[in-house]
Amino acid sequence: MNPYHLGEFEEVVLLTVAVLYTEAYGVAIIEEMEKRLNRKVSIGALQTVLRRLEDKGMLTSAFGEATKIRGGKRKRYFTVTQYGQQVLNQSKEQRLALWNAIPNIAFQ
Amino acid sequence: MNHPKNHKPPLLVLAFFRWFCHPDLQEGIEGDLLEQYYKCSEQFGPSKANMIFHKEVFLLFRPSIIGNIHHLTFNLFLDMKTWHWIQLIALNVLVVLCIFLPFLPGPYDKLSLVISGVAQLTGYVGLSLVPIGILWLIQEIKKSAGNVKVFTRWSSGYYYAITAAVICTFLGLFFALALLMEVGISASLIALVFIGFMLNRQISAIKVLKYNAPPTFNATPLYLLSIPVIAFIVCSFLISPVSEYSRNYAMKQGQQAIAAIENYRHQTGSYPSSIEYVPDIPTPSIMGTDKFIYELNGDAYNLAFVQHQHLGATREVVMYNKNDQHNVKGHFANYNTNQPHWKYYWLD
Repeated sequence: MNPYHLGEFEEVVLLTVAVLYTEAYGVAIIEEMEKRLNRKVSIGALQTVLRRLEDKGMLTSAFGEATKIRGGKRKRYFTVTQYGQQVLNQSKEQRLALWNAIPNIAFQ
Repeated sequence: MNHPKNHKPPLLVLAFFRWFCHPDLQEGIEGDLLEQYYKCSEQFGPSKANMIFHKEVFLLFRPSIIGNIHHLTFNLFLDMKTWHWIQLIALNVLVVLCIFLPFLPGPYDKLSLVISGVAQLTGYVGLSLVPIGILWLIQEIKKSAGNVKVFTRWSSGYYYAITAAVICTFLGLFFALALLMEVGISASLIALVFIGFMLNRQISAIKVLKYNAPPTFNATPLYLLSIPVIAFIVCSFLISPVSEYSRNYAMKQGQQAIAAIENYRHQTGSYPSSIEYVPDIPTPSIMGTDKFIYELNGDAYNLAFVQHQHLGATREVVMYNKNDQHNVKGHFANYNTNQPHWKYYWLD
C-alpha cells in the first residue's frame, strides 16, 4: 500500500498552498483555486482539509498580520512541509508513470 | 481594502460560529469569514453577502471544526459536583411530585391542593426565569471556556441572581398567601419564616457575586432553566392522564359506596335521605378529594366527588346516577367515563 496516499481534493489544496508560497491563507487559497481551477470551495471544506493535512504533517501553519478587513483577526498562513513535498512528488511520479504507460494508440 | 462602514455581518450567526468553533481555530477562520464577507459585500451587495455568510457558517458546522462543543457541554457538566446533580434531579422530582400530589392515592389532605397549585404556578410564572437562566448559563459557559476577560456584574451573574431572587420571592409570597387562605395563619407564618431564611441565604450568596465572579461553574442557572420547564411540561401534558388515574381510582371506591347504598335500600325499602345513615361508606382515598357527596334525585340518587385540575381553578365533579339523570349546574364541559352511569363535569 502506498504510504503517501492523498485524496484528490487534498492534493489540489496542497498544490495551491505550494503555488501561493508565502501567501497561502484561507481566503487566498479559495480565490486561487477558483481562478485556476474554476472550482468553488467553501471555507468549511477547505479548513477541514487544511486541518487534516496539518495533522498528517504535510502542512504547517503560523499566524501572520491582522488587518482591518478581517475584523482585526490574524491570518493563518500555511506552508508545505518537506514531507508534504515528498508526498506531492510521489503523487506526481505515479501519475506521470500512468500517463507514460498509456499506449499511443489508446488516445488517438 | 477599506472596511465597509455600513455593512456588518449577521451578528447572531457570527455569535453562533464563535460558540461552536474550537478556540484554536477561531481567529484564523473568523478572519477568513469576515474578509470574504466584506469582499462579497462590495462585489454583490450586502444581501447576497449575508446569504453567503450564513451558508459558510452553516458549512463550517462539522466535527473537525466544532471540537468546542465537547469542551462547552460535556466537560462543563462533568465539572459539576455530584451533589449539584443530585440536588438538581431531586428538586425536579419533588416539583413533579408536588404537582401530582392531589391525584395520588392516600387520605385527604387539603394542603396537597395548595402545594400542587403553587407547583403548577411555578410552571407558568417560573417560565419568566427561563430567559434569565439561559443568559446566565451562557455567561457561565463563557467563564468556563475562559472567554470572560473583564469582570462585570453581568458576567458574574449578579444581576441575573437578583432578578431570579425577586421572582422566586414573589412565588414564595404567593405560596404563603395561599396557605393563609386555605390552611390557616400558622402554616402561612411557617412558610414566611422559611422564605425569610432562604432569602437571607440568597442575599449572602448574591453579595459575593457583586464584587467577584467565582472561578468554578455556578449551577444555579440550570435550576432556573430545568424546574420551570419541567413543571410546565408536566402541567401541560401529564395532568390529564394523572387525573384520569385518580378519577378511576375514586370511582372504584365509589362502587363500594354504591353497593352499600343498594344494600341499605334492600334492607329498608328506600334510599337513605343522607349518606350518614349508611354504614361502611368508604372515602375516595385520593389526597385531593375530600369525600363522596350524596343526594336523592327522583327515584334514584346522585353520588359524586370533586377533584381539581389545573392550578386548582378547574373543578371536576365526577357523578354517578344509575338512571343517567345527572344534574350538575354551571359546567362548561362534560364527558363520559369508562364506567357505566358515571360522568364528569368541568366547572370554573
